[in-house]
Amino acid sequence: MSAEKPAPKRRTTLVALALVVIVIAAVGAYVVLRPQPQAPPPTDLSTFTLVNQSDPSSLDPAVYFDESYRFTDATYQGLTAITPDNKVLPVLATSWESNADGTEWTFHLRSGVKFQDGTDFNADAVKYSFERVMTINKGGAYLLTFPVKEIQVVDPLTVKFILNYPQPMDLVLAGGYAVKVVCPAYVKAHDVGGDLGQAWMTDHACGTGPYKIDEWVRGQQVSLSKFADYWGGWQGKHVDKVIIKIVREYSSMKIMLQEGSIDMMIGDVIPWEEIPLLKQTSGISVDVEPTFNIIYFRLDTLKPPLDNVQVRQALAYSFPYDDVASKIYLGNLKLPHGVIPEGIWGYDPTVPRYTFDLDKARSLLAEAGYKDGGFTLSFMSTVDENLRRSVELWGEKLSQLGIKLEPRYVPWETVFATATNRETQPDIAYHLWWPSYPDPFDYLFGMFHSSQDGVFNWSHFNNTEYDNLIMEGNAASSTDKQKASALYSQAQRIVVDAAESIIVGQLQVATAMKPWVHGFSQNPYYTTIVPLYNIYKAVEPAQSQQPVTPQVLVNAPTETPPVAAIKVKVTA
Amino acid sequence: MGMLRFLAKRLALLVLVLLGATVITFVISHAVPSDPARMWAGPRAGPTQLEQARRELGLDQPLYIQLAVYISRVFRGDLGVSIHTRRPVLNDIAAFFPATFELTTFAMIIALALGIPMGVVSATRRDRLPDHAARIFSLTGVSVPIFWLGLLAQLVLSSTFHILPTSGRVDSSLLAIAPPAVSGLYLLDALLAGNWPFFASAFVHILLPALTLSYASLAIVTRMTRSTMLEVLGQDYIRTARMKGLPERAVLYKHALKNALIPILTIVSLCYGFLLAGAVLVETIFDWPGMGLYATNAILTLDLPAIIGVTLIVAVIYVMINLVVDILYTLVDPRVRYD
Repeated sequence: MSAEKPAPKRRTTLVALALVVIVIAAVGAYVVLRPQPQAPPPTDLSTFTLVNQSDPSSLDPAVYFDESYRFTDATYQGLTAITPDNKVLPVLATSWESNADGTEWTFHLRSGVKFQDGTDFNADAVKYSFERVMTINKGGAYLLTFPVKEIQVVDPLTVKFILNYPQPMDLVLAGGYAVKVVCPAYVKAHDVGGDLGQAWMTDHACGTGPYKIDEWVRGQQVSLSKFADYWGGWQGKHVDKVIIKIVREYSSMKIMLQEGSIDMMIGDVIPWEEIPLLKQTSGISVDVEPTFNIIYFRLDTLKPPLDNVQVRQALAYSFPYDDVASKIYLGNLKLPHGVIPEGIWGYDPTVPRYTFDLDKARSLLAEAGYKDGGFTLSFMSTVDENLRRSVELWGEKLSQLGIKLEPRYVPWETVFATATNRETQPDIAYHLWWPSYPDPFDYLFGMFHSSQDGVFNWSHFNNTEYDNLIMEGNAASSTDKQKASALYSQAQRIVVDAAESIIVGQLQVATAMKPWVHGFSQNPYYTTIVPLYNIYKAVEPAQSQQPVTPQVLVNAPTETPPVAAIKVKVTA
Repeated sequence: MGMLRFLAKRLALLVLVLLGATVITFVISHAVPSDPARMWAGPRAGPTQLEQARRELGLDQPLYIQLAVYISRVFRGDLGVSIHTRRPVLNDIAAFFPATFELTTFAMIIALALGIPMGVVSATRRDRLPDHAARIFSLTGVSVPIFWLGLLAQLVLSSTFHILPTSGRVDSSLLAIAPPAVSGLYLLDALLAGNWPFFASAFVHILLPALTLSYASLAIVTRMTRSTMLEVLGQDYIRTARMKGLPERAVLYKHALKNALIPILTIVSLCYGFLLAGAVLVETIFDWPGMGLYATNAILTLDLPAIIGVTLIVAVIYVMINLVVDILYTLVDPRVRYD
């Protein structure tokens, strides 16, 4: 080691340090202040790149019951589908009828439909697919196992459902889960030890839809390409290939969207406060649409003091609905009347809803014998910043009534497991509900029917009149939806009056995309599904962009041309 | 033959470690309220579906039987089935592990390839500018939170200056021409197949996450090298070597560094474990499809078989790395012997 030290040692160090600081400051300033670069127009208009936050859990429609359907919706189809304005559309079935009381349904199937493996679609395929779902008995299988007694093949293009009770099968078969038709030959060829192809179908797919799934590289992407023999044909504008990339962090997605390396972020991932920022960013457009997702805070009606209806009503009056909707959800939370979402058939705006009224809450508490509150309520929810802030706000109002709220934030599986166990159940539990098939009965039965105690009737709501009304409504809905709606309205009033839960609100969903993406629409019955068949990419001058008609539907060509088609300027 | 006996002892120890890790993880994860049967059967499962699921998953047995069944399966190489992906956990890990292994190994190589020379320079130019620069660099490395560093790197190097890609393992358009998966390490497989476009893309994609991940280890390696070098350089035999007229490079690398390596080897084995842990955050930021991501998802969805499977694999890796390092000691330092 040298004993000598260079004399201006300290000065050199200071100069070096100063240089480092200057360089960092310069880079930082550039990063923050630089002009937003215009993303170049896409070079490849035939490939549509989407991004999703997580892998699918499975590609098998008989198994998944989650957002995996975003990946398979363009590959698998059902017999029917439903539009946002409640029209049932023919998809793999062209027409259908039921007997007088709705216990037998006959579906006439579309002819000339080919599966993606080249085999023909027919009634046997429908019977096979649905019986497979019922045997595997996972995910959305209950949609079939409960009502269906027998599936009969009447002729190659006619299938008949014999039911245990009246059920609107045209709606059930329009659901987003389970009721999809798979290629029987393909599945049978990959049956391993009688597993009905479950192992193989986890990461492979074969259906009748417009796009085939080519490959799923776990953790990275799912790639799809167009099925040339799709029964809907390929007239008009479509993309040839679709890549759904898996990107976990919203910040990464945003960078990729700005650069143009992806065309669209699948909805449900953008923080609400980001939406105005994104809208202002050049090269990104944001589409905000309603969903049928409703947030409920379920109250345990068996546990004192929540066993007293006045206490529950007081809680319902104490919730700051408007502040939560406007300040925390920034207007992206609607406040529906009743317990089913606005826009679903059967929605009734005349059903009363609770509003924020602390005085009323106070007087109800006093009547119930809790003039100064004096009790604590345990609350459990998933980890979500918006929920946490809403609960904080509510807790502050409750403390004015002398009620203490103890929130806990845990993974969804824990909320689930704890809320269904009577010993561990919290007083109040967060619950999110969306339609598994397009029918308000899904909400009314699943969450509030007495038989669903231990499943999703977390509040242990038990009202015979309510049970009878909704069962009658369901029976009627096969043949007379007006009658069903009227019965459902009556039923809703009972639930609302009992203040079985706090109806926090109905969510919207925001999807961000590049301006060269056209054909996008959202259907609240199939939230966050992107209708890939309708999507096309074109660099167009701004003024020719028309809003997409909501009739243009999920991956099914409409029978008649949509009313306001997008006007495309043909440039030479 | 002392070596063989040593190895046999260590492998027996490995089995004990695994047993302990399994039991502890099993017991702890069953303390968290969750219902795997419900996850398996689906969110809207009815009572019959749940019963079926419980039987399929063996959850109707008491806990100690479940544990015994699980342990017996592990010894047959069966880590159970993931409740979320519905695939055997071993298949899942085999799919995700190579990516993590590639990332952590690359990061370790960077840490050593840059850290040791920097440490040597720091030691030989002690208290001068290079030393101060290296010390500031090291201090930043161990202080800065890794996810912040990653996000910053992504923002500056990727989003602003477009030097490196934002995320992912390789350009998605190149996945169609991926080389055959011999090892699962994209760089190695591409080299073996002579697939240069794929290699180039994979290389460019691994740089940012590996650099981010390696920063803390790089800092530690630099500091460790510096201090051990300083210690060694003060020894008598170094003075002797210099007096003998050996060129400085020979003094440094042939005599000094070789002796300084032993503590550095210890650091390597510690760092590797640290890297595996840090990989979780880096994998999340850069969408690196590795075990960190898999583990995170498993934890967030309370996927017990996957959680326990990942814990076991990490324990195995850790023990093996330690074993390899212990063997390397015998190569580096002839005084070290096992018998």
